[in-house]
Amino acid sequence: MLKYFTVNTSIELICFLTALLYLRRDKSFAWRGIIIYLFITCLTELFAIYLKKQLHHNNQWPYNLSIIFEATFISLLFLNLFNKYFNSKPVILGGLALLLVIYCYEVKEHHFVLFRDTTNDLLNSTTNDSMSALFSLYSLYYFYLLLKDKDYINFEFSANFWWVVGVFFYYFGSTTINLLRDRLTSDYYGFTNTVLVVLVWIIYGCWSYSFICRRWATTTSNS
Amino acid sequence: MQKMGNNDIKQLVITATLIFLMAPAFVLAYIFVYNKRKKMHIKEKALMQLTFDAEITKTQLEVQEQTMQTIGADLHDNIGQLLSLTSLTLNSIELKNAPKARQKIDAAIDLTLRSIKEMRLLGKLLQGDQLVVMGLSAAISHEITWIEKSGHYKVIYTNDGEMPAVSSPDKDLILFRILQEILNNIIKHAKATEINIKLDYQEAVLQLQVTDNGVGFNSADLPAEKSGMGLQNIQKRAGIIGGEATILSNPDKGTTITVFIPYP
Repeated sequence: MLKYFTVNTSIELICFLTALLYLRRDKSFAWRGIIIYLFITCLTELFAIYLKKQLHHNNQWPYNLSIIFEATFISLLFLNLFNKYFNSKPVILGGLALLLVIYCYEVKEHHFVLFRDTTNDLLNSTTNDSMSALFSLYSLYYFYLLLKDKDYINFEFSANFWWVVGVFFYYFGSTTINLLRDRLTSDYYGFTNTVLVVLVWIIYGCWSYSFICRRWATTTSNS
Repeated sequence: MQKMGNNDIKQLVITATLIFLMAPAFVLAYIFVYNKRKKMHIKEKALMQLTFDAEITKTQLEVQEQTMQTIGADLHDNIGQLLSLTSLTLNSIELKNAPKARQKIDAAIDLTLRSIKEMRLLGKLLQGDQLVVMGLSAAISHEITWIEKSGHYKVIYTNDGEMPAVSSPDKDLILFRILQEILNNIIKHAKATEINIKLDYQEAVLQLQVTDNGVGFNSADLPAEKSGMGLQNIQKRAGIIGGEATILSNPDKGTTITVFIPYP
């Protein structure tokens, strides 16, 4: 049982429980959607561990499946954040369509079970790289919009801000791993995993805090 | 592709990852600093608005005080004198001497008419606040109608440029008071026959220009206490609402006063 509680799954479960606790009554579907996304993420991680450690099977395909939910739910929340400033539907739907095309191409070119396999030197996960680039751009653009905003926003307690900070750190910070993946030898997968664990803790830490801020803001505005 | 050495790749990954983590950290630091400045800027702006409102109120009170002083002085020195003279004239009428009595009655009638005229003049000073409610241009037109009624002046009024949909009643009132001050100066000192008033609104700047063909003056020749009253008041009031006033005059060549204010 303990083998299911890795450094990654622990923070993911904490983040999921925080989301469940603070967002379940949120009025925005985009924010509530994050609970579903985190549930899927936790399920994927636990199932991947089960496949690898219990059945000794290749465990990449659950990740290949969860990337669809990752792209959808994160895009949905960006849509929600951008809508305060402009009609972002064309941008977000365009981005999702682009990711879908790349995903379909990778499924066709490589094998669905394998294409996001970071242990295979010959394969690149273009979907993952494109998604990272896209979300980094969305985050930067969101920061730009915040700077342009005439109103003062107290970032220390802004749920939107901390959610985007998490996304930005994770997707921008993982660029090195994404770019150098095909040059890494198997000796260094442990090392890259450490980097990824740090990034995962940053993103889920920021997200958990943003969910708390979100709840504070809703309680304050209601009272 | 040929694999890099194990140590090289490790160093490269560490360095690049650090850079890619430091970049977001710098972005965040920049956003926080910028946001702090934005907060300070908003606070300063609010403070400036408060100061501006206080200045406007102060100016309005000053204008009111000045108006009351003018009314007091006029009632005492002008209308009071006229009415005293009327009373004296009427008292001195000898009914037995009809032609002389007629002469004195005519003089009393003339004095009464002058008193009425002076009273109307005072009434105009008090009316400013209500006039501006109709809009600046309408208030100016009303003022002009009254000046034209005297029959001594030909007044040409032009209003160029469309006024903005949102007006600023505080600025309207102060600008209107400036115009009243200019017109009073013309009536009292300029000996003019023609007055040109031009109101123009372009690119968020409201311009009021008043030109007369009167005797004009050389500002250097004006005694300090004299130039201090009317003209300095015009410049001071324009300055308070963020504008400026320029006064151009030459002896026998009339006077042009132009007031620019940011509007609304």
